[in-house]
Amino acid sequence: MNAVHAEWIKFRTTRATWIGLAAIAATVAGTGALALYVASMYDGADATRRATIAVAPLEEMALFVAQLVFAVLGALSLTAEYRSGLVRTTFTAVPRRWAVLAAKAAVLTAAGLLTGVAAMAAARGLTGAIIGDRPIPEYDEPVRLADLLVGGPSVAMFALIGLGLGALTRSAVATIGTVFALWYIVPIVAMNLPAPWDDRISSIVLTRLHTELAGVDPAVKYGDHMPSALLSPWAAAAVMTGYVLLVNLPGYLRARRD
Amino acid sequence: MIETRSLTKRYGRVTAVDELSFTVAPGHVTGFLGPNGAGKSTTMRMILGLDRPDGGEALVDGRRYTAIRRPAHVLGALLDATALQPGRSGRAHLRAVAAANGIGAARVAEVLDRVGLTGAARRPASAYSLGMKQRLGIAQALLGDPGVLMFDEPVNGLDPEGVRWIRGLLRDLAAEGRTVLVSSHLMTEMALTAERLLVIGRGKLIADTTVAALTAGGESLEDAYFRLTETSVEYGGTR
Repeated sequence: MNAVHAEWIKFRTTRATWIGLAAIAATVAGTGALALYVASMYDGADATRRATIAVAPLEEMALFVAQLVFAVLGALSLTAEYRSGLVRTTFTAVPRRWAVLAAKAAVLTAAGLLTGVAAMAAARGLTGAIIGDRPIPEYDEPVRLADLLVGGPSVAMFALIGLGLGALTRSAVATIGTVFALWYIVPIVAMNLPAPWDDRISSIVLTRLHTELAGVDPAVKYGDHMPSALLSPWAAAAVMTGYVLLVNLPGYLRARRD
Repeated sequence: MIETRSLTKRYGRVTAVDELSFTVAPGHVTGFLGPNGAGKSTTMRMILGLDRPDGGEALVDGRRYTAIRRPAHVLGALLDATALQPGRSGRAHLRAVAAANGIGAARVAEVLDRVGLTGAARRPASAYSLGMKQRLGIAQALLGDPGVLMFDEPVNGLDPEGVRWIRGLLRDLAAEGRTVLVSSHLMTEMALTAERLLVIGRGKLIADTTVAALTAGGESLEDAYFRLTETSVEYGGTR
């Protein structure tokens, strides 16, 4: 527990943490601005146009940014210490290296869960309040709690993948480059693969797992242009856990060796 | 008490530390002298479990450092004072290190006071001079009130007043019955601070002696040091 306390102090006294949280807050505010735009567009439209107005779930934007922010925070958690040499102080204070990695993972998981849920809930609450009782699809039905809660595990997963890759590469640039590709490029490539591989690969890309965890199939909900979700919530949870373990094991082994 | 037994570290074909055995006893300042690249820092890292020895072992109070549960209470070390996260304040840095060993904020305030950094405690580390970073590192070593202290080149970057201060501090710590090991390549500095001397060159122990014995023949400590290490300097101009 001492190691966790130490890592918690480091996490909240790192500039990057607050810059990242500010970026997430700004995105939440941005979803509010988009909701205002949608609401005014709705109010100015006639009945036939109103029927065609649809909005992608705006809270997903806040989650999308939170995923990247926490992947970067996870990556920096260890790589910044290697860069400054602080890691020697850390390993001198806590000689059991697995305990250091576990403590960092615990802090990132807790902060990621909290931030993921908070970002989703804040964005959904804000946009929902602005759209009000306008009968726009997505906003004309009650919020499913599960849709918001899955933001937590998703953000925590990104943070832990950043941590594990950082432990493996010990390079912030290599780690952030890799998570950026996993977060942005891989999902786009996956969507454009020939069938049936587009659905298969899209079902296991990092940015999609939370919708499957919530039991949502985007192809059913938004139409056929979105890849189908092939995983059940349990399978999605297993894949998320598997990714985290897969990435963190070699990092742990490398930290233990020297 | 610090003890090494046949401690060995190789980097590829280079043997950085070669069957090094010595004991550092409490009650006086022991200087750890040797030219650059002699293996001083590598030895210290192995004592702290940061580098794994290829042979032999290093013990702190009879135990391997990595087997000690809250090591800050047994050994305090300053290896590299500049190893700080630039945006974090000195106080936050110490609080994190202290928390890892179950030490609270009150003790952090105490050590900050002892090294004279209370006024700068909330400033980010990037605003510290090298001398202030050295003071912060010393405060960090003192956090757990340990019986063994190890400092790697602690006077680097200190102004004359700071050098004088650390000299007094090291002697006080030793007089309190602690084991104090201080590495340096400045023999003149060691002459003023240390009582015992461990001289190493190319990873091997060259001399385990006292300052008094080394200068007994009327030779200056500097001359005695050069005589001892002349065959072990790896990189240097011809003399």
